[in-house]
Amino acid sequence: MGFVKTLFCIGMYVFLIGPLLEEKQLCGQASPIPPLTPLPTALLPDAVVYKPFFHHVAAFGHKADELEARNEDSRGYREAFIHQLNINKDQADSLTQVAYQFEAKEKLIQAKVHERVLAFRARYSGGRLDPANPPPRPDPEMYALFLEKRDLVLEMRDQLRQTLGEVEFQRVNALIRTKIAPNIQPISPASVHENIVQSPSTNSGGK
Amino acid sequence: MTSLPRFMFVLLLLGVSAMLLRAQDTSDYGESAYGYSIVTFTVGTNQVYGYTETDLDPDLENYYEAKVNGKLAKNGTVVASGLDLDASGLGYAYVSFTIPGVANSTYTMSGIHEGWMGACSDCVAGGGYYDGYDESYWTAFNIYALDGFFDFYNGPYTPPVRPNPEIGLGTSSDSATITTPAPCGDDRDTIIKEYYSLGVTLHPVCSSFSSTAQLGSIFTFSQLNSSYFPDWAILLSSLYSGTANTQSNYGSSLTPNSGYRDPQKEKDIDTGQGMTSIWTVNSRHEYGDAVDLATGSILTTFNSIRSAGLKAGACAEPKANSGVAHVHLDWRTSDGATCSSLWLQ
Repeated sequence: MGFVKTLFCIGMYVFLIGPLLEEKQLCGQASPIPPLTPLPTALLPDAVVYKPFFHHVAAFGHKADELEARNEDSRGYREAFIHQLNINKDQADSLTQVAYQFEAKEKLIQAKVHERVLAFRARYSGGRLDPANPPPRPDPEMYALFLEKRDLVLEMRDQLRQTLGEVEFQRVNALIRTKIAPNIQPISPASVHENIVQSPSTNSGGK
Repeated sequence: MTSLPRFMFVLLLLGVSAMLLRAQDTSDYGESAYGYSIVTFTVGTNQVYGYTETDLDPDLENYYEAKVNGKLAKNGTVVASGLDLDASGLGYAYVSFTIPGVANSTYTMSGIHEGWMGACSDCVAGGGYYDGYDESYWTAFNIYALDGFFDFYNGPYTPPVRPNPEIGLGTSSDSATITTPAPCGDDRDTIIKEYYSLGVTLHPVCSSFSSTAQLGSIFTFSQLNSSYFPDWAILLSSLYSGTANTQSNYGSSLTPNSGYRDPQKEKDIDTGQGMTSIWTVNSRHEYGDAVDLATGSILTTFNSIRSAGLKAGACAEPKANSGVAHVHLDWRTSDGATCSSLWLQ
């Protein structure tokens, strides 16, 4: 019985009481809020790691394309990932092609996202919000698009796997994890605290 | 049947369901921003490349545009800077820089990652914002009213004031640093550049090269160096031990036709043999663990030397590929590479 009671109490605390305490703690204090512990980069999911990585590869690929169109030396951009990931020229070309595909498909999804964002914003004329009627949670469609984007990153990662072959992919993926992922950081609450401009004469009430 | 166990069972179900609901409520949906900053140096072009990007998750996109302010510093002094605002709704913003690298310098790329309130760009005084469905999380980030006119929570907490509709998601400490290598000051600089310009996977550094043969080598340095650069060669220890063991197995002295080749030499040899577009970009001769041994074009000698090499742990090129004029042996397996089964029988 003791176990059952304990389990129940934990569940109810987490669901009902925890959030209230959390909100009180977060919203009601005038003193600085202790920073949350940032997620260790080693735990970043592939969807988070590969997204900026593909953007980076595509951006350098476009720079190289521009230079080549002007008959200028593009080697630096073409070779940046050869050195970084210890891959050969063919593998680097394949990586760029996968990144281009990702970029093109992401743009299609993002166009839908942007459309919804604009529609959402249009519902709040001049950006004015009514504190008595807070906006609803983001549209479920937005959530679906978010999942679509996340799945696209993973799909393109798997395409890279298919292109490189399993053995080479594992080697390159390990280098992406050790050389690229550490450069990706979830935004730290501590850094936000440092960045915010405080004013002693703030008017905190609704206008 | 008493009602107490049934009641406790319902309580148990409620408790477990509550935990699951809570877990589901806060999981998976992205409510964060990511900063990515990286700096790289390419020896072949002697250039430093910096890149920084801000990614916003979708609920933030409802209210903010991704913005990034990137700075590339050399030895602590900013030498390039720029910013990008995702005004077109890509969902991310990035800037990149390219500058010539100076030897023995430290380069740092840093990014300041922000959310810019595009939704409020046309706001008049009195405009406000709302930060999404998991308010408490972002409250922890002190993201409150931007202009001090509106406080959604309207509680005892005094929101900070910002001078413009911009939210500092993080002065990203996500900087990346590299230190450019010092040049070798001799022909090795030219050889190293060949590895980059000709697309070889290996990227040697000054210390990869030697100018003398290892003590105890059965061959002289000049016998093992077939490159365009007589003073420098990459010669791995596996080559020395492998050739010594091969000669011991063979029972008579061996003569090398070719050893280390710089990439340009390898390309010229291959294209000279008609391999115009598919020269061996990653030949083991460029890695410093391969040797071609003379056979006098005698088949029995070819077979004997090849067998001696295989016994010494070499990858041995089949006769069908090389012909009988020489035996190609390499010890790539000591370098973590593999060769096909035909090269091992």
